[in-house]
Order: sequence, then structure tokens, then C-alpha cells
Amino acid sequence: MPLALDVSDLELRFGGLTALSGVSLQVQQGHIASLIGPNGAGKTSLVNCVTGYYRPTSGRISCYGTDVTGSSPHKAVAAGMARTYQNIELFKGMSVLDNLLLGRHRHLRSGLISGGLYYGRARREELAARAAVEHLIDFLEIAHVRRTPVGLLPYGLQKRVELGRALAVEPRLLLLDEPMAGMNLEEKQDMARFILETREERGVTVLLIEHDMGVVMDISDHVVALEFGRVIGAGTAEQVAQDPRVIAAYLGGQRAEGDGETGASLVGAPQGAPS
Amino acid sequence: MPLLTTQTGRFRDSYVADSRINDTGSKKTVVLGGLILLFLVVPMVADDYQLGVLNLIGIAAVGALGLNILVGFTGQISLGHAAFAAVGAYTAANLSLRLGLPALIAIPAAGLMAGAVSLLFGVAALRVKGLYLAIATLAAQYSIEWVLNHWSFATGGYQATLLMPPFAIGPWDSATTVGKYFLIMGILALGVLYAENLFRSRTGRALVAVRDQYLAAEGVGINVFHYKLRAFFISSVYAGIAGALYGYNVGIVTTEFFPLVLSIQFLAMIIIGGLGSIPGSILGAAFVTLIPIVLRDGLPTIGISFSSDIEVYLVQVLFGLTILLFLVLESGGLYRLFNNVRDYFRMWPFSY
Ligand SMILES: Nc1ncnc2c1ncn2[C@@H]1O[C@H](COP(=O)(O)OP(=O)(O)OP(=O)(O)O)[C@@H](O)[C@H]1O
Ligand SMILES: [Mg+2]
Repeated sequence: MPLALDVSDLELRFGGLTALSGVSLQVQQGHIASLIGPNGAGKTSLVNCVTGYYRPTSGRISCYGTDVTGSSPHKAVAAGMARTYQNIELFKGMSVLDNLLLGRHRHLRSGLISGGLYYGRARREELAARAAVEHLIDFLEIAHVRRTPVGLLPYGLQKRVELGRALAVEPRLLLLDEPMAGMNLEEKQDMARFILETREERGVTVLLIEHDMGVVMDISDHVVALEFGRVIGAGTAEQVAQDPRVIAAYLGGQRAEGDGETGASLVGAPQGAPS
Repeated sequence: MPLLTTQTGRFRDSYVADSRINDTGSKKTVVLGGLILLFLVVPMVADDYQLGVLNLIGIAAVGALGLNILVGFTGQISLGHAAFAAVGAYTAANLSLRLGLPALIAIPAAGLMAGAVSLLFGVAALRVKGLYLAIATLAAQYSIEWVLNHWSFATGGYQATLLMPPFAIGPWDSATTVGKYFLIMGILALGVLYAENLFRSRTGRALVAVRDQYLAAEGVGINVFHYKLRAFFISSVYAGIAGALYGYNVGIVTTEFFPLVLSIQFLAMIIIGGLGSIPGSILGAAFVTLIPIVLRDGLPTIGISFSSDIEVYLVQVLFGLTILLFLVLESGGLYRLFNNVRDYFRMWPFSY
């Protein structure tokens, strides 16, 4: 059984700045793996390399056995990936429906001729796509805004629509860059539920970047910690949370059993998903 | 670009109904009424002069619609649209002069040839964006002009004129203005239908996605470069067909018909009419086509006339002013303006 994601010895440099160095990580099929690390650790850069937005300086990346090193984003999608972005990248002027329909792009076939005729298969597949998208809209509980231009939606809903668009792609590996950032507790719980249900119902493997350690502890099968572009710890959530290097990276040397109320502790952080 | 919106208060109960172009009964009536007007009433009541003006508008609308697909819907600029129209005109002229092919074959072939030539340039030009793309398409305009001026076999050479053979398609005959009218309006109607369909299906959606957010477009599996090329191709097919129609309409083809200024006029049409709007393309084409005609033929009938050199000036000043006005005051163009006015009256007397 091939790994959902296999990154080995990845290096990424921007001029003099080394964003990633000697990064290796594996994500098992069907797992929810979390990527943690302080600001500027290189988490987004890593996801950008995996999804073809950045070309790594050296190293190898494969997704379900397909080598995707240095490919382009649309090829990463073809290899079975879909992602969301830290700074939401929706088609802002389009409705929720159209955003999700765009997620179906690679499942449709119509081109310049059949699309322009809108007859037979082109028409049938549009209607089928519409049905698939409505299903997702129900799942994500966004039916009430399906025709709203997404730019007008509140931040939390935009994040949800972006998840929907990624799910519409029907990926085997879903990469989520801080899907709960800036959300209140209730919204975070919803999002965590969607991620868990996605994994259960669709068997999608998830790589999640998240700062909220409570969420990470609750839903991850595997955690990888980055600091200054290097992997400083990997294992189960408990193992990583107790790893002295990880604690040091987050707390500047403070003990993990510190003050829970300030959110300083890695274990049992106050906010989080339903257990 | 809301692809699937309708007025509030009207609900569809199936996806089929929801995906129809004529999504409301009233819109269907409008379209049907428009077609009857266009193909039955107008040809009966309009005189030759008026039909001639409508022919010019129809040809310009085909070209403008094509450019709008590239610029308005896909977000890529082009200054070479007129050159692709020239490619179409010369393709049609050569096919009908040398091979005696009928217009019904020569016109689509003109579109395809213009599309093919545009791909040669697009492969290089569409790798860059914005200002660089503008310059690259400017280069296309000039190099095509240069080739046409020097390729005597195809064009007769510098400042030469080709006589376009007449066409007859059933009852449509280029000997009469109304014959040309049916050909031009028929093709325009097909062009509008094609664009409407394209933009409610996969390809059109992808083009709009490329315009709105190309990184995210890649992120859902759209090969952005390929789709830019597709938009360039379609837009040039429309240009090529418009060029061929122009040739058939005036009966001759010369390179002077297709200068850079025409490329800019096409841009003016879609800015004035409304970027990313199919009806806007037609409104803009009508507006820009009518300015010089009104100055030359319209105003003298009410006793205002200018000497011809001032007239040329005035046309340019008016272009500039209207483009500026729309850019500053109503960037949605005439089409948005039209909608606003319509909404005002629909809500009347509660129009606030
Ligand atoms: N396109 C780029 N050009 C130059 N430097 C970059 C680029 N992208 C990322 N970096 C640098 O790489 C480093 C890692 O950034 P990255 O965005 O991957 O961090 P992160 O772990 O996602 O942080 P955060 O938690 O704040 O999102 C930072 O120093 C950043 O400035
Ligand atoms: Mg980041």
C-alpha cells in the first residue's frame, strides 16, 4: 500500500533564505496528519511544494506512489490532491455554487465544441455536477447561501466554502492550511467535525496545518512538528506534545505542564474540537 | 461573474430549469421577441441604408463578442484583435477567389485560420501577463500587418485590394443588403448562442476562474495556460469570422481595413458595452459603430455639419470621452447602465 504522501529530504531556498531543509515526512492512507510549528516554520511552504506552487530546490515528493516533485498545481490535482489556503483564495465574485462547480472541473469533460453546443453529454454532466455539488452544500450546511457571491460571506463561511470546493475535487489527499484560523469555538468544532466526517465517509487522507493544539490533539493520527524549516519531532499527538524539542520551540524552554489558561500548554489546550 | 443568478422572487424547482439560458418566462419572451424583431420585422421595415448600418453593427458585434471572451471573461488583454480579423478576411478572400469555395465554407475556415494563427502568437504571448501581454499582442498586430503587406501571393502586396467574390446562400445573396443582413445576423445569433452556452458549462466557468483567481484555478485542476490559449483561440475565431464578413459586406479586402486603431476600437466597444457581458458586447459595438455614422449622416439632417477633418477629430474625442466616462462612472458599461435603468422602472414608484 503506497503512502498517501511521501516527502523525502526536501529543501527549499529563496535566495539566501532556507525555508525548508532536509524535511522528510510520511502520511499513511486514511490518516489525519497534522503539521505544526511556530510562525514562519515553513508549514505553508511545505504544502506549497507538495501541491506544485513552489518548486523545491532538492528532494522528492510522491503522492500515492506518483512522483509529483516540481510539478505544477493542476498536475498535483491530477495526482489526487486538493487544498485550501491560509489566506482564502476563493473566486470572490462567484456564487458558492459556482465555486463548488469549479471544484468539479476535472470530473467534467465538455470542451470548446460540446460546451458551446450544450447538448447531450455536456448538458447531462453539468446537471450531474450540480447534483454532486448540492450534496456537498448540504453536508457543509451552507444551503442558505448557495447563491451568494462568496466575497460577501463572513470569514468562517468562506473557509467552509473553500473546504467544499476542495472536496468537490474528490481528492485522495486533502491539504488544509489553517482551516480554523480566526474562528470561534463553535465554528472550530463544526470544521473539525467536517474534517472527521470527510475522512470517515470518503476515506480521504488529510494533511492539516493547525495552530490550535487542542484540535490537533483531538483529531490527528500523526503529528509532524517543524521549526526553522526542519522537522523537530514526529509521532502520535501525545508523543509530539511531550517532545522536549517541540515544547521548547513553542514555549522557548517552558515546561509543557504550564499555565493552561493562557493556552501555553501543548497538552490539553483549552479550546478544541468535540472529543 | 454570477453565472447562475436570477431575480429574487422567481424560483426554479429543478437543476434543469436552473441551468437554462432563458431561466425565466419573461426572458424567454424577450429573446423570442428579439429574434422575431431581428429576422422578420426589421428586414421588412428597414430601408437599405438602415440595414447597411445594422450590418456594420452586426459585424462589429461578432468581433467585439470574441474580444470580450478573451478580455472581459478571461482577463487577458489583446491589442491584436484587428490583425486576426485581417487573417480571416484574407483567408475567406483567397478560398473563394482561388478555390471558388462558397461563403458557408469560407467563413468558418476564416475563423479557424485566424484561431490557428493566434495560437502561434498565443503560445509565446500568454506566458506573460498585463502590460507585457499587451506589448506581445501589439507585436502580433504589427507582424501580421507586415506579413500581409509583403505576402503578395495572398494579399496582392502593399496597399493592394482584393475583390471579394459575391456569395449566395439560398435566398441570401450578397448582391442585396438584406441578403447580407441575414447572413451577418444569423452568424451573430450563433455567436451569441455559443458564448451563452460556453459560459454556463465547464470551459466558460474555467475561463472566468482564470480571470478571477488564477492560482486557485490551478488549485482545482485547471491548466491556466491552456485555458488562456483556448480563450485566445475562440476570440480570434470570432475575429476571423468578423473579418470575413466585413470583406463580403464591402466586397473588397485591403490591409487598411485592419489597423491597430481597429484593435483599439474593439477594446473601446467592450469597455463601453460592458466587460464580461455578452449583451454588452453588442451594445458597445453598436455605440462605437454609430458615433461616426451619426456625426457624418445623422447630424447634417438636423442642420449640424462639420468639415471632414474636424469630423475625424470629433470621432476620436468622443471615443476617448465615452471610454473615460465609463471607466470612471460605470465600469459595468452600457449593459449595467441599461440594467440599472430597467431596475429603476421595475421598482417604480419605490425606486430607492
Ligand atoms: N514566496 C516566498 N518568497 C520568499 N520567502 C518566502 C516565500 N514563502 C515563504 N517564505 C519564507 O519562508 C519561511 C516560511 O514561511 P511559511 O509561510 O512557510 O511559514 P508558516 O510555517 O506557514 O508560518 P505561519 O504559521 O505564519 O503561516 C518564512 O521565513 C517566509 O518568509
Ligand atoms: Mg502558513
